[in-house]
Amino acid sequence: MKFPSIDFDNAVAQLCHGTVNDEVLVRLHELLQADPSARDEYLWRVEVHGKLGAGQIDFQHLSADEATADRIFEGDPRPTATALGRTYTSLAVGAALVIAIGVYWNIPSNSDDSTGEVVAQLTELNDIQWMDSTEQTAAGDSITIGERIELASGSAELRFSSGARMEVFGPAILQPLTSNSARLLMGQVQLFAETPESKGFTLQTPSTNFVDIGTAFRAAVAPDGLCLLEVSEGEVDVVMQGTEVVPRVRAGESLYVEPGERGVTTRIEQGEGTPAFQFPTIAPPSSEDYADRALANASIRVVHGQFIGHSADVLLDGTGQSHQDAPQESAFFERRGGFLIDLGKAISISRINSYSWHQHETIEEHRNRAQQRFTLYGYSGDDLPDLTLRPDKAGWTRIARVNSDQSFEVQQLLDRPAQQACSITGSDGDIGQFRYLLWEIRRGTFYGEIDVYGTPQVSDN
Amino acid sequence: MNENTDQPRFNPADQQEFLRVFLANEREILRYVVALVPNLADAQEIVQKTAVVLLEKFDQYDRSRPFAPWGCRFALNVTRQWMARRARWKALLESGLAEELALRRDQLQAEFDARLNHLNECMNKLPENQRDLIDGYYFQQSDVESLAGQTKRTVEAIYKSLQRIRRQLRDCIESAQREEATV
Repeated sequence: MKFPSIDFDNAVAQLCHGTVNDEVLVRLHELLQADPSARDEYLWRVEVHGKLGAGQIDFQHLSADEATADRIFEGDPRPTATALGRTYTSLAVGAALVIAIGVYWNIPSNSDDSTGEVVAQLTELNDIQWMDSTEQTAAGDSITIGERIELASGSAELRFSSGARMEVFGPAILQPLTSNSARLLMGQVQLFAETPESKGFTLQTPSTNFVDIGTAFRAAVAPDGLCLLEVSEGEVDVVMQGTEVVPRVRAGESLYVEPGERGVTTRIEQGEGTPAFQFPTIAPPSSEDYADRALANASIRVVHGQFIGHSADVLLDGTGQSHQDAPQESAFFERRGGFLIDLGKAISISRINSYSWHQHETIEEHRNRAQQRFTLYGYSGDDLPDLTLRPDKAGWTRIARVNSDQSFEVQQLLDRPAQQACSITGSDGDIGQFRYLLWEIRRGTFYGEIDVYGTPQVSDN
Repeated sequence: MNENTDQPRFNPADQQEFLRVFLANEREILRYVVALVPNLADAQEIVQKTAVVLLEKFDQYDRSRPFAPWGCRFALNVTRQWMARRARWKALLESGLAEELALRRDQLQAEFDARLNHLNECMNKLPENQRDLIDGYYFQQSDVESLAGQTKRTVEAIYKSLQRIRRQLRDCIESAQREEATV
């Protein structure tokens, strides 16, 4: 092999892709050994490949955290056979660390002198790979308090002694605690509490306890602690540490809980599809929020992306769109972009709502611009951070991550509601004190209104 | 199943600190490993093993110094062990080439970092279909078979496209750097 040459180009590319054969690998290594120029060029090429692979570049602010959460929160939890070959770095590392640490989030244990008691049984295993390759567990085995189920891939079904049935989807780490409770350290589970004894089944996650009041819910936990709850039947109470407020999530609703002391929750709901913007629990667009244009407290502007909408000001005008396909009344990007709201001074924010609506006049399944997908950041200082930097590198606080398609489990176009609202709140009614709010938008959604509720700091009154 | 002793092996405050520091530096450690073992799936496996080693050694970490170089030292050891167990990689280890590559990368890192400052702008110059491919392969971690199916192309064509896009990005970066030097 020579340098430069097509053979060299192909060998390095194949090495990056994992398709290089032994003979080519040996020849490439011989070349690298003999030729310092080839070595430097090789290192530069794999550096670009590695930088892309590490997801470290600021590609429209898609962070590795978001991608990791996407993998955990996918609507269809069953992995495809081909997808198993590549595991997202943070996901794999997260799982490894969860195991190495033992108890990741230091949640108080319920197990005491009842260690050894059988609390559940493994009833079904599908395409299982255990994280410990020497694991010999089989369907039918009993599970006692103090055991952890650590799935690298595939799915397992458990039957708790209370009658509750749980499906666990790898990668996941689950620890049954009692005959009617379990701790989910990472991954995704689906619970069916259909017997009288299983009412009140409690699922602990790093930041919450999900207490089942009805019959079925799905829960997912990302390695960084972001939790998702989706209720398909009945109701679930969300008990968070440090607050007496207990949000109740009903059938058809979902809730994200961000990691962190504030217990920021995100609720996403489907609207009735009328100009009144009626939602099950989220209030319609308001002209009485702190950021409303009429109050002249706040301003909004586009900070990056190809903006196509008429003006971002429509987001602060107190109303949503007047009809289902109204680009002139919407603020939207071709694909990705960023909105910045300046509240004039740092205020204590209690709630942030966003609304979207898009339904093509004649093509029923065309609701492409209805999905809400963004990451929201806040900054409390008066000097705006450098907006060319990634927000997490520039000092912004990440408030919430929103992906309504995940929440609605959109598999087909018609699964996506045409009218949507997203409401972000703190567990004790306080998201934090911020002057600037930055929406890093993904997807070209027709946003109609953003409402920011809050009060100035006491010293300002 | 695994026995849970219910006695955390690590102080909770240290766990939190380790996770915070490691996750902030994880990508840099991955890039370091990729220089030696470019296939991402292999490199990720090595980083995963490195994470566990680093956690065990975390009490030896000097907080006044940057984490990444310390972590990369252990990553190199884990990479060596990984190579030693694979016949096709043993030669790289035994010839000393792995050490040479690691050393040379250290020498070039500042230069590479300066060049890579242009990567984002160059990425934005790519046509949308090429950005989508990079997004799918690198960020969404889709497998090549799926990407081929989605775009109705062959697996080989996807690999060729990725090779071509990376070359375009390198050309763009080098051009931007030359322009920068003339200003």
